[in-house]
Amino acid sequence: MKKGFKFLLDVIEVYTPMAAFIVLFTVFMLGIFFRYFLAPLTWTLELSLVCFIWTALLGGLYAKRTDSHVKFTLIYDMVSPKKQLWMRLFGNGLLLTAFGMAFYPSLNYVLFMGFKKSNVLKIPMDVAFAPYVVFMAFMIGRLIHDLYKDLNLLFRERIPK
Amino acid sequence: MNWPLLVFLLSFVMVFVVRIPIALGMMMSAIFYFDLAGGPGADISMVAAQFLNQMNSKFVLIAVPLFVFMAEVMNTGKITDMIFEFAGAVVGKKKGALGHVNVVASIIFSGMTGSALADASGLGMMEIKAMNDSGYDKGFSSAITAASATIGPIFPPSIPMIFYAMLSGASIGALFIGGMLPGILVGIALMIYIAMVAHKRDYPLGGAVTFRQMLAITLKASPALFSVVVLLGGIYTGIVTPTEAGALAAFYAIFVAVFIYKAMGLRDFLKVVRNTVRTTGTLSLLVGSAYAFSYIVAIEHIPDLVANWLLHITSNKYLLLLLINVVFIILGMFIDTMAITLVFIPIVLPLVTSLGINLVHFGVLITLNMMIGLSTPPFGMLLFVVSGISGTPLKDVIREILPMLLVLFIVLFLVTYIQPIVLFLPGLLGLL
Repeated sequence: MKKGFKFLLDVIEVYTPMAAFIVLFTVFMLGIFFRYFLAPLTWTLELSLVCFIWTALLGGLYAKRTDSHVKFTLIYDMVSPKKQLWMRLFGNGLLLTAFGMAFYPSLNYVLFMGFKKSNVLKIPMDVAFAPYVVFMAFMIGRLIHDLYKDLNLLFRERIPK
Repeated sequence: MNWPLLVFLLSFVMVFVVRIPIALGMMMSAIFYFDLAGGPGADISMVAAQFLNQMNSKFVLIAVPLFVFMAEVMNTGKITDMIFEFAGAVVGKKKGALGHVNVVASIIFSGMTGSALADASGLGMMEIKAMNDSGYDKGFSSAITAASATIGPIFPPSIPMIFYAMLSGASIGALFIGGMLPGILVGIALMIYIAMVAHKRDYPLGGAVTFRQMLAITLKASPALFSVVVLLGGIYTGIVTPTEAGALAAFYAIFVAVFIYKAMGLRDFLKVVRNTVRTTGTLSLLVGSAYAFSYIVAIEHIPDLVANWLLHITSNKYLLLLLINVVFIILGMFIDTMAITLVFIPIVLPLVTSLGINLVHFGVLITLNMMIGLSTPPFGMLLFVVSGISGTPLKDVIREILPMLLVLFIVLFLVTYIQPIVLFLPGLLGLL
């Protein structure tokens, strides 16, 4: 069960954006080749942009997993571990509130965009924009996980001195 | 000040106080704002709408993962080793030669990747180890690696300049070529400083290279060096766009790494892609969130307020440039370059335009300014990178980098007030 869940996480956060990037790169190169040596292709740019959105948003989840997002740590680093814990609880609480509030409006927006299709490949825009909803859902999951971990630390008084 | 704007600003301040990731924090502030603002065209889904529609329409952004990918390939595929060896041969028998090699290698490498962090973490490890083994002070080796890595995004190509072009509408080609002379100027200034220190501390001489050896090293390094030709040649002959040049150079780098230097297998390639995805995620999330954030900044007329406030202090163009430089250097000491580019540059751009300052000139000088910020204590990211990879205490790196920063500030001053340093080459090529 745990292994299956870990694999699912890897598929969404690592393998899918990697595949999207490889498709982006390949299609982009193909576009260049056709433009200079044969006849220009119009669909390559469209697919590259969709793959870019998938790479960016799901890659953003991978960056969250590896704690690579840019943060301002000056104040955080100066305070005691207990205060750091409260800061994390407060920050993650704020983010969870915001992302929780935004989830349904974002889902509705992405579904609404299904009426529109890309010009050449006719990719429905709800498919192109779907990773935004996945991003929101997984980010909410990760924030709940982080909050649970910190609350656990707080209630069991396992705060490093 | 209206209630939604107050919540928007306060929640954004909290991002810095409680260490919320800046990209997520910008989204959060925008969500709170739209929730409170309500009304037509202002509901929470605007965050998703701004993020997705802008990302889907800005073709130039595809250059970001491509340049990141290229830098990752070069750092993995032995290309950096070749550049280091070649730079050593070019510098030859000089006092403090490895310090000079560090700068020359950074100039060459920056012609390939456009990323200061890629330079410091890729070439840096090799440079610091070689310098430490030869008897240089550890703090000095790390500090010069950080200082020379700042050339990366000034000399073309440059990831921060792509973002600036996207925000300002300035030509990427003109920005890239405008950064060439300032990049070389930084290199020369640092080399003069190295020569003075090397003489004072009696740093070792470099190895003499015969003509035959030089030829052999150049031949060995030429496939790596040719990637600069692919990239810059492609852009300036107008054969390809900067984005396409990024893709072609990455493709060429893979070819060289796999077939010529035989330094990259499937496992390495997958690792490169994984790192590319992570970095792209970090950068692109910042960009996407900044769209929603900047939309609010624009509809609340914050740039006008800032412009009026600054013009109230002085309306002298030169004093305002000085003021903007000082503010951005202070920001750069604490905040990441990308966050500054995406949040603060749009705020000052209307003022810059109204003062008649050339957007290419401003783009290059502000990029140089922000790159200096990357090496400025207490929180310049390059300082942490070089301290981490070399195991040198941060305080030693900071002590050694302070005089180098003075050198960089002098160059920044020259670039700010002598406009032709930036605009001469773009003008010559008819790019202005």
